[in-house]
Amino acid sequence: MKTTVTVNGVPQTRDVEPRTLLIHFLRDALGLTGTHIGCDTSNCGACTVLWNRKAVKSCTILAAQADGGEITTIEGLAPDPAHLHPVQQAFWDEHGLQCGFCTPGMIMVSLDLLKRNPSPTDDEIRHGLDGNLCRCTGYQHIVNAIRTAAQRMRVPAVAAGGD
Amino acid sequence: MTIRPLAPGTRHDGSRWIGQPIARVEDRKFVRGAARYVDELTPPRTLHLAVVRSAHAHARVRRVDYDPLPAVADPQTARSSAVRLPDNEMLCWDRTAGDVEGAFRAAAAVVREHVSIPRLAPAPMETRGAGAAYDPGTDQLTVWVSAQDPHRPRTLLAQALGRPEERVRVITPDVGGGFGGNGHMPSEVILTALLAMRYVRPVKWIEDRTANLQTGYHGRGLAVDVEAAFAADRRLLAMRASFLADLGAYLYPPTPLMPITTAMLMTGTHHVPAAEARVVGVATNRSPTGPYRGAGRPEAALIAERVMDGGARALAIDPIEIRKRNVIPPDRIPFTTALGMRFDSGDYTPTLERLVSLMDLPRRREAQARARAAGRLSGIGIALYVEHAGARLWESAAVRVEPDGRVVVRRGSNSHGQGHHTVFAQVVAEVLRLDLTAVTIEQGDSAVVPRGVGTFGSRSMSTGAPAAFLAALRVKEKMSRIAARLLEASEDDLAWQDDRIAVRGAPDRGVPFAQVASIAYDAARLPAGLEMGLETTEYFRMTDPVFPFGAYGAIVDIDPETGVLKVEEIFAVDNAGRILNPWLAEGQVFGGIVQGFGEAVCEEFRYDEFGQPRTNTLADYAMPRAAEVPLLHGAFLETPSPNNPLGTKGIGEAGAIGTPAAIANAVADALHPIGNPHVQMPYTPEKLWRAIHFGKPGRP
Repeated sequence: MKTTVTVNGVPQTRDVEPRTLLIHFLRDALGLTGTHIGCDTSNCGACTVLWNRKAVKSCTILAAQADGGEITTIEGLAPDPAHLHPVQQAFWDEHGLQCGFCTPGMIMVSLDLLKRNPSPTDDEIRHGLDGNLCRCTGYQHIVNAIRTAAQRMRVPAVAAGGD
Repeated sequence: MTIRPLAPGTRHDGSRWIGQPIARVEDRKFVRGAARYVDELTPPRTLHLAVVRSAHAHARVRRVDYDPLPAVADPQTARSSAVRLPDNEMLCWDRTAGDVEGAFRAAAAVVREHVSIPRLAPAPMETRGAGAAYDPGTDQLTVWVSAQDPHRPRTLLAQALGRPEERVRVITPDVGGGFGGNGHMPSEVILTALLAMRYVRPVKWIEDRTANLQTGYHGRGLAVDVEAAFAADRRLLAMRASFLADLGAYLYPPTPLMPITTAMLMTGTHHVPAAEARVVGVATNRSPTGPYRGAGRPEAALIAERVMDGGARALAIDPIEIRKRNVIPPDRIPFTTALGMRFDSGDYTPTLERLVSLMDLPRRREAQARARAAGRLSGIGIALYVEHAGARLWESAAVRVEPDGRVVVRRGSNSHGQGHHTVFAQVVAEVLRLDLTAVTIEQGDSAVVPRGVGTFGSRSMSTGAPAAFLAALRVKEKMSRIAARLLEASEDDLAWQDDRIAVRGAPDRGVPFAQVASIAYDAARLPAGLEMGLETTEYFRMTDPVFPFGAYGAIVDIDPETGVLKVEEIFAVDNAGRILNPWLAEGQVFGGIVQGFGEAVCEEFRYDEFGQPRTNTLADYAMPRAAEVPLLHGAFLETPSPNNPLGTKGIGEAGAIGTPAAIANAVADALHPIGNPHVQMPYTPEKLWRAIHFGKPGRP
């Protein structure tokens, strides 16, 4: 079935089987392989993307369900090849990754978390990661990364407030 | 480049790069989603391989049907079971040293402990996979595999396919973790390669998570009965233990090593004059076991440290004090233990003292007393560990300075998340006085890197980094010879500055690093009698393994109403010799701690009474999530190893080794006021609740 999804700002129309999962649409049809598959049961969160600006596990929805919607993947975050999104930069700066396999999902779920709660406590960050598994880091450096990203993303507001 | 401030009180030896907490140079691609794991590599015309597995634990294969047979479903019944696999006892290993019987007869107190450690799944976030392509024109087979290194898969593929190794090129692209589980090549990789050759088309195999959990080998799976004899002065006189290892249905090459390692290390950091270990490994209709992060050492630390806490209780002495009284003193090291481990270096008491200050232990004890008075089950656990690292004792690295002054390091060890691109660049840039960005690290391609061993057993810092260090030194010597001739000075009078080589005392007489490099490749300009090129390959060989050690602490609280265990904080003091990058080392420790936390608190790969696996997805196999993971605190002490020129040991497994023992002692401490009911890991709410409400008193 003909499906049109705006992915990272670009409308993409493909003929997909009705059973095609969004993750397979992204990886196989569009070649956006930054989003990973780590399990078959929606437990690991490696496949997290933004669907109409909310974090979803792209293995839990069909490509056809996203028809007419907007998807943001890890490849769509950086403003240009020379710069990174503040959350990407913070994961780098805070040693928030090791093997990197869970990282795209972690970054995407962090975006959703920080949009809902721009000043999360460490406990709120940890609960915000409840749908995402990491086997390498023990999470603490990921929490540091998200805290740092939150601080940096709040800076313009702070400056405007004359703090 | 991000450099984290050094921790307060940290001494720095003046090195520009070595020892500095530098953020990873390789991370741009990972945060951009531009990394390439094996599933990202799909050439045109790729065929996809799926593997169908038996539905029975034990059966006779009849085409696609089976004739089920009774299964050996658990190790306890394997020895007495009427069901005989070809040989239910696949491993017997005994060792005795000293007068064990005499020590037990003379003991003022005997401590007895039963310890059982469940099977665990390594469960890296990337499941295993491989791609293969065959070029009949050159008879070249290329295999991409999610492995911990290219060397072992290449050797095994060449053997399995009957091909010379140089006709098999193995590439490990980005690899999503391993933890030991990607060390042994699965047979599916051989199938993938065979099919690529048969069909002369690319073939790809990516396993699903259920296959990864079921058929990747498991770690641990060990039950131990241990006795320890203490003298009235609280010194440990002897230990004896019997081990029953659940090896699984058949042996992988490393399978027997884990219980033997545990047995040989069961005396831990303690001076134990007499010891006896009896290991039996049995066959079960389960997946084979193998090395999972820690690989025998977490089990050993658990045994040694449960015994030490038992001794402290029996002899009414503080857990810190009894350990200080029993550790091998630094002036006795190098030290060969009763069971045959030779510790290269160590100083255990300072790690305990640092742990006491890191935990603020007196204040913790006061808080515990208040919690207990309020009816809480509050526990504090302490554990020492010592581990064996540097397996196989050698590794390769090649350093080449290009004519433009850039440096390429090709190395046998292989990062699959550890951050080696940064650490190896630090080592080489330090020697050659360059910026980190001047160094490129290549790895994971058997056509590019020298023959090597790989990354496992916490070996890359003690064997691989010294190889790169020595290779860089030899290139530096070669460059010094060229620079000396150009500057008409003695080599001894040269001063290596940042990006420049000058004459000591005459700073204006110098030559840029890159100019020396370009002359090395220019026959017309290279002074006569000097060798062309700037490239050297070092095969570094250590004489003996190295023994990292440390002290861990855990604070726990058990809710008596629900049995829920909350691990509140974990403290780690690690001594892995010289630390090349404390930030990345901390990352290794923290990751290991949380795997050790999983082992103690929630992880267990389970089978039912028919041998059917029951924890087949990440919905059933409980890996720790961020919200339940405690706050972690780490500190390093540095006692350099004499066994390699950097003084390094290895930090990849430390966290997974010290943590289960510390949590086990904390849980026992928490349960002590209600009679020390006996519970085995993982400490699930159900087990703890049953123990609290119906438990029998533990031993002793």
